Amino acid sequence: MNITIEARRQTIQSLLKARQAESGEAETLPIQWKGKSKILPVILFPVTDVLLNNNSHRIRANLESHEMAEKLNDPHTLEAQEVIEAVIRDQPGYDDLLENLRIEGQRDAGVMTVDGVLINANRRAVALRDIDPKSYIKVAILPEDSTPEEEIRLELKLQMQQEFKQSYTFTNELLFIEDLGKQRYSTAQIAKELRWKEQEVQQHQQMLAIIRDLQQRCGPSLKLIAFDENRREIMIELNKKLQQLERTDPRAAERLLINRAVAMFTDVGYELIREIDEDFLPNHLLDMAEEMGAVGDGESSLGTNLIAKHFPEIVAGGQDAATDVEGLDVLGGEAGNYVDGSNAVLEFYFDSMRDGSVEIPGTNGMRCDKEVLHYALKDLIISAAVEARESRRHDNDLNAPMNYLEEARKKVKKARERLDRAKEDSRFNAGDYQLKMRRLANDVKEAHDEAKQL
Amino acid sequence: MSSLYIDYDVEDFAFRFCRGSDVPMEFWIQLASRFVPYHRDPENVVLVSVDELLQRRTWLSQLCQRWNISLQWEDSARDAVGQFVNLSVEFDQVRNAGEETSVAHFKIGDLLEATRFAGQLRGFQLRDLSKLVGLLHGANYSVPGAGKTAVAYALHEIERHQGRVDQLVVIAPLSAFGSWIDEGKQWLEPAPAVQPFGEPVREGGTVALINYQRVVSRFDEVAKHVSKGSTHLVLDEAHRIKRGWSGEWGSACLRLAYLAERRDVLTGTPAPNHPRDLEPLVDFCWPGQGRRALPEGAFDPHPLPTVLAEASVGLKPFYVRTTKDELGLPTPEIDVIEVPCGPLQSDIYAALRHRFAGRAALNRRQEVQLAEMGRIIMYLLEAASNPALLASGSSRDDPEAFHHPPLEIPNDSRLVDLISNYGRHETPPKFVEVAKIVAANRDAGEKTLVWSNFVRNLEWLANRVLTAMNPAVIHGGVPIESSAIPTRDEEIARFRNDSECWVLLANPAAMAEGISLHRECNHAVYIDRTFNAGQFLQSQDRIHRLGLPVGVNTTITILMSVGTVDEIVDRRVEEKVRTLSALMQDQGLPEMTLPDEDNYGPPIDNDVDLEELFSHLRGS
Repeated sequence: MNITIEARRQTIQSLLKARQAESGEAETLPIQWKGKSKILPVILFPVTDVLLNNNSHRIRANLESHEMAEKLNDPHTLEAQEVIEAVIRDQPGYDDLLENLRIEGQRDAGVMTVDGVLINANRRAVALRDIDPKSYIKVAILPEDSTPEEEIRLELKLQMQQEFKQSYTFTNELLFIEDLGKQRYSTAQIAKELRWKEQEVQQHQQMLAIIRDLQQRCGPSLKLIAFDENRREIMIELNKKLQQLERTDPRAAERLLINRAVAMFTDVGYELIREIDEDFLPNHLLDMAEEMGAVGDGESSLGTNLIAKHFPEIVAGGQDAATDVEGLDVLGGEAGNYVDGSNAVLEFYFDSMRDGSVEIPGTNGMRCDKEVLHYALKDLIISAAVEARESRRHDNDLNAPMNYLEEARKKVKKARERLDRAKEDSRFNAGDYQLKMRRLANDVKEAHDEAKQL
Repeated sequence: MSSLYIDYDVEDFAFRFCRGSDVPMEFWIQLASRFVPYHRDPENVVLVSVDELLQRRTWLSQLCQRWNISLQWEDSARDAVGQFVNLSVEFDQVRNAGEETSVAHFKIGDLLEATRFAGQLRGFQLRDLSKLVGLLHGANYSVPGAGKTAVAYALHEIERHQGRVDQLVVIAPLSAFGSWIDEGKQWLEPAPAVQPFGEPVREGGTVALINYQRVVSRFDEVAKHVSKGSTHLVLDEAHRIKRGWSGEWGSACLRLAYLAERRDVLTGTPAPNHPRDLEPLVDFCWPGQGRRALPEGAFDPHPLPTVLAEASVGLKPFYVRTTKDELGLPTPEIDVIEVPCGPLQSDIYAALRHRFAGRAALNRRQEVQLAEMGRIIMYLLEAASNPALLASGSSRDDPEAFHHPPLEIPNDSRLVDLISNYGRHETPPKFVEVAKIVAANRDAGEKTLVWSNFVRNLEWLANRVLTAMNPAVIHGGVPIESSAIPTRDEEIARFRNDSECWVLLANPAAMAEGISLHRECNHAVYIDRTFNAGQFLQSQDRIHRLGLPVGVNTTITILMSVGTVDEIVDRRVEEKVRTLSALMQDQGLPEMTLPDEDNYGPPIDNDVDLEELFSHLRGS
C-alpha cells in the first residue's frame, strides 16, 4: 500500500465511471442515508489499496490499548495502517473468518468512502490481503458529500444490524455505546436501536465511566482491554453495588471499587470477588496478611510471605490530603476523600507494573518483581476472600463453632499429608513448620480449656 | 483550575451542570453516566434533578476534589441547593437523634397557653403534638377519628406564635372542608376566617382551604399565595399524593412543598396499596429524602410482607401515630336484626337466585368474575332490601362502582309481574323495621342515621316511609354548592340543629370522610352493606369518634334479610373488620386503604367473597 491519496481517489472515480458504462446487471447496495434509502454502486477495488478505518468499533478498545497507539494520530500513514492491520489479526475469530473467506470468498459488499476509507469490512479486507495481496475487495461507494459524522452514524447503523453482542468484546461494546451517545443518540434511542432495556444502556455507560476512573487512578499501564476476557460479569455486579453505595455511602463505594479492582487485576475469579465488600481490607485482608506474614524470619523468599509481612506498611502509604476546592462547600457533603489502605495497595501494584519492580516499604530497599507481587497479592486476596466466604456462610448458623472446628481438623489432616511429601525436599523449611505447629497447639489448648467450661 | 458552571431551572426543579473549557473528558463521563446528558449538547451539559443531586452530593463532592474541579454556582442555584442541603442535613440529624426531638409535655401546655388555641387536648394528642413541635416538618398517621385536625391547629398556633409561620394553607378533599371550618371555630379564640382559597383575605389572618383538583388547575395562584408569607402547608388525607411526581396531584403538591416554611402531612392510611406509597409523603415534608428514607425492598413490585414494618422503624422519628385503642372509645354495640323477607320478596329473591346460579362458574378469570359479580351483587342487595329497585337500575347519583342497568328479564317471565307490581302489594320489611327504630328513637329524643348504598332507597325512605321525621338526605345527587336546592352542608346543618329533623338518610359513598355527627346522633342503622369492610368502618366513624361524651354508647344496627346475600355479607365483613381492626391497633404503618370520595372501592374485593357468593347462588 504505497499509493497516494489523490491516486486512490482517481482510481475509485474511474472504476465508478467504468461501472456506469456497464449494463444494469451490476451489483448495488441499498443503505439508509440522510434519512432516506439510497442505492450505492458496488465496485471491485484492489484490496491492498483500501484504507483501514481506525474508528471501527470492533477494534477501538484494542487500538486505544496498543503500545503504539500514538501512531494513530494520523491514521492514514503506512505505520498507522500497519498497527490497525496487526490489531485486526489479533482479534478473536480472525482465523475463522480467514478460513471462511478462503472457501466462500467475499459475499456481501463492504462500504467505502470516495477517499478509499472503509466504513465496515475492515476485517475482511485484512483477511483478503492475507489470502492474496493481489485480490480485490467488493465495496459500495458512498456519495462525495459524506461527512465524517454521517460516516460514523452509518457505521453504527451497519454494525447494529449485525448480531451485536456476540461479535463484540466487552470493552468494544462499551465504546460503541459511548460513540452512539456522542452522535446524540439518547439513552432511549440507543436502547431502541439495540433492542436493549434503557437501564442496560445506562449500566454500560456507567461501567465505561468506572473503567475510565480506574485508568485515571492507575495510570497508562492499565489498558482498556484489561477489562475484557471474563471481566464483564465482575463489572456488571460491581457497577450495581456502586450505584447503590454512591448514594448512601460514597466513601464505602470508593473502597469497594478499589478492593474489587485490585482483586480483578490480580486475576481473582468472579465467585471470590463477590465475597469482597467495602470493608474487606480491615475485616479480612489485614488478618490474613498477619497470618501469612508470620512465617519464620521472612528470609525464605521474596514471595507471598514477605509481601504479607510488610502488608501493613504497604497499606499505610499513599494517604492523600484533602484539597480545598472552590464551590464544594455549597454541597455540604463531608469534606475530604476517604482513603483507607486499599488505595495504597492499588498504587503499589501499578507502580510495579510501570517500573517492572517496586521497593517494599520497611525493608531497607528490598525490591519485589512485578510478577512476584502479582502472585503474592493474588494469594493473599484469594485466601482472605475464601475466609470471608466461610465466615459469611457459617456465621449466622448455630452450628458455626462446630463447623469451623470440623474444617480445622480436616485442614490439619491435609497439612500432615502435604508434610509427608514436602519434607523430602531439601529446600523445605522445617523451622517454619514447627513454628506454625506451636501456634496452632497454643490456640487448640486455649479452645480446649474454653470447651471444658461449657 | 477547571470549573463546572451550574444554574438552576425552577420550572423543572433541575440543575444544569455545564462543562468549563478544560474539564477533562474522563471526569465528564463520570457525570454523564450518572445523570442525564442534555440531548442537544451531551458532551457539555448534564441535567441533575434535585433528588439526584441530594442523593449524590457527597459522591460529587469527592469526585470534584479528586479531579480538582471547582463548582461555580449561579446565585439561584446556590440558594436552591443550600436550601435542599440544609434539609437533608436536618433530616439526617432527626434520623440519628431518634425520638429525642420531642418537647416535654408540660412545656407544650405553656406554649399553647400563649396562643389562640383554647381547647383541651387529650393525652395522646398532646403526646403527638410534643413530637411534632420538635420536628421541622411532620407527619401524623393517626387512625381516622383521632383528632388530627385539632392537633394540626394546635401545632400551627405554636409555630405561628413562635414567629416561624404567619399563615396556614390546607390542601384537603372537599368533604373535609367542613371539619376544618368547624374545628377552627371550636379550637381557636378568636377564630380566624377558615375559607376556601380565593376568597378575599380577612383581618386577623386566614386559613385557606384548597382541594387537590384546584391545586393543579390554579397552581400558579396557589404557589403565589404560599410563597407570599411564611406558610404552614398541611396536606390532609395526604395519601392522595401517593403517585408522587408521576401523578398530577402529587407533582403539584411536591412542587408547592419547596415554597412553604413548614410542611405537615395527615392521613390514617399512609400506605394504601404499597409500601412505596410512603415515598411522596416523606418527599413532601423532606424534599429529596423519600428514596433514602425507605428500605430498598419498599420499591420491589412485589414487596415482602415485612418491608412495611422495616420502613416504619426507619421512619419512626418522623411521624406520630395514635392507634384506635388509644382513643379510649367504648366499643360500639353492634346489633344484627334478622328481618324475614316478605312473601313476594321471597319469591322474587328465589327466582333471582335461580337465574344467577348458572353464572357461578369457577373457571373464568377472576377480574371478569369480579366485574360480573359486582353487577349481580347489586341485584341481590336490591332484592334483599327493596325488590322494586330491580326494575329501575341504578340512580345516576349512585357512586360509579354501583352503576348498573335495570335487571334484564324475559318478557313472559313471572318475575316481570312480581317486580313491577311489588310496590303495590308489599312494603319492604326492612323499611318497616327502620321506621320503627327511628320512631322509637324520636320518642326517646334521639336522632338516627340511616345508611343505604342505593340512592333510590334513600329517596324512597325520604318520600314515602320517613316523611314525618323531616329527614335530611345526603347522597351523590345532593350538591356540594348550589343556590337553588339544599346543599350537603345545609342538610347536615339541618340534621344537627333542627330539633324536628329526626333522621339523616345517607349513602356511605357521599359521606365517607370528614363529617362528624357523634354529638348529634349515637345510633346508625344499615339497610344494606357491601362486602367492602372499609366502607362499613369508615361510615361508622361518623358517629363513633373522638369527642364522644363520656357515658354515651354508640349503637350500630344492621338489618339482615333472612336467607339472602345479607347473611354472606355479614359473615365476610365481620371477618374483614377483625383484620382491619388489628391494623388500626398497629403502632407501625399498616398497608390499608379506606374508601374516599374519589375512590370508593369495589363492592366485592376478593376471591373469598366470590367463593362465598357462588355457593350462596348455588344454594349450597
